[in-house]
Amino acid sequence: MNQVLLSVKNLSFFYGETQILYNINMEIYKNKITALIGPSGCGKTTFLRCFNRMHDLYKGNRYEGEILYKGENILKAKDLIQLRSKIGMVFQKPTPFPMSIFDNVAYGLKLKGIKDKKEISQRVEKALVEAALWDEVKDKLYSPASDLSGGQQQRMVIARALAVEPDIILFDEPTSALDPIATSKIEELLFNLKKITTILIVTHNMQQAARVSDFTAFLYKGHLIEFEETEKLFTNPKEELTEKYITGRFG
Amino acid sequence: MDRTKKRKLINKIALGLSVFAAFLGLFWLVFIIVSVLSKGFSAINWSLFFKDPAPPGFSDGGLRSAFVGQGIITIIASLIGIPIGIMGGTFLAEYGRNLKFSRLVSDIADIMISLPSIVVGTFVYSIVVRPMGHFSGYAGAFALAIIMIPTILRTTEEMLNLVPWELREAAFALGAPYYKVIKDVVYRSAATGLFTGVLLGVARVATETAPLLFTSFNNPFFTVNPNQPMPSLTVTIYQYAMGPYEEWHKLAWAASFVIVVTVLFLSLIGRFIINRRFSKR
Repeated sequence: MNQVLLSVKNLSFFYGETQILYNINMEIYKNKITALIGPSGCGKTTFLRCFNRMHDLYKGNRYEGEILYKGENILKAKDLIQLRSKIGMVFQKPTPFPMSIFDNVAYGLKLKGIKDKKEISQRVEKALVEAALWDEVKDKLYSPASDLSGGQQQRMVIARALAVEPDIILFDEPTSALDPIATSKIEELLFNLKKITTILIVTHNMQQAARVSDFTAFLYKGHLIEFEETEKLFTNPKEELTEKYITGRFG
Repeated sequence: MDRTKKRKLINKIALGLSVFAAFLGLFWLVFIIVSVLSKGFSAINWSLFFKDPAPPGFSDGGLRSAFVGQGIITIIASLIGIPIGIMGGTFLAEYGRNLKFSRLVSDIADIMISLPSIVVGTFVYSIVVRPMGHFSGYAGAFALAIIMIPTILRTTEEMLNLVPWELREAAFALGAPYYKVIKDVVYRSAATGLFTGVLLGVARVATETAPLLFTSFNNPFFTVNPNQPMPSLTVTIYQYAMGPYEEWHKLAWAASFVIVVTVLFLSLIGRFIINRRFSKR
């Protein structure tokens, strides 16, 4: 049975006077991968960034509706630091901090106030193993993260997100800056991460959504057109718009 | 056809003029550096650094007092100017980046960078020297700090703006509060740039004479007390070069040599770091 982790109710989002998202309703299921697809400018990244309240960094943004997480509305949460330690995020371009690989992965732990060196190094190792990077970096943990290749950096960033044991990780087109080999490694990794966390991923690449996700949501001009199990959505879409999009007639 | 010829001619004239202007500028620069180096180098000796000025007529005087005074004034100016410059630049690039006020401060800082430094000198004279009743090293340091602040402020702002926003977002997404994002991620990313800005700021004030004339003035005696009038290299050069004695002229050349070499060195290090930083990306 699918267990609901987050439920989005009547979510609308405004940037100044402009409405970007309209009345979105959907569920994010625990230990599943949910993909958000849609043409450029459809609001999928905007939607993703509502979950960790990234929009709060900028002025003039307004949310309406609810995203319920453990009975609480994320959009009304006061403690964003606490929220963001439970809801991780990985960006389009790798974002290594200017420090060593070890310090990168340990950064979230230190933010949480964990001081015990042994615990930190255990959790760093665990996260790097989970992110399938340990074997490649175990001998150079203390060299700068910028020395890694793009694909390795992205996996290190995933390890950094994993280290704080979040309930869900948001991925914003995590492979669009990577080559095909690095991409397939990340996809394989995402698939394995389901066991330990939940994933919400924005992707431009429909094949990627079809390959890795359990559920897919199709957004168009700020509206959620269809939300369905990935297999059903790609083989037998209910909406005409969805069918047109997945068969490549627009977008 | 005629038109093309005309354009080519105008092009040649413009090119000729700009090349001429470039050479004119370069000529004087090279002329100054070469003459300072050749005349200054012969006057360099140990007593320059380890002896205080001797009375006219004695040839074994040095400029120890001026070196020490310059050092103390520059250090105090840096202690005031560097933190204010960096913190101000941080406000402009981070906390206050969307405020109109920040744009205004930024523009004013740009204007202040090109402010004649003698204006700063007279300003400090009226708000520090007059109330205190005497010239002092503190007043000199204060004047230099005022000159240093806008330079460091603007380079800090620009260097922080070069750090991609995604990097800050990534730190926020891990649950970092803003001050930690700045301290751990932004400053570290911009570290070489910030260092260079500070270096160039210090190099800039180390060569100023005008703001010191009315503030730290000069002192023929060795002193480490910034509450007294303090000698500095630049003011000493100014006075010695105007003086009637051959020994003074020699010392002025020697001091010029030391300043030119130091500043050249600091600027080159600064440029080198900036270039290395950007070629790496």
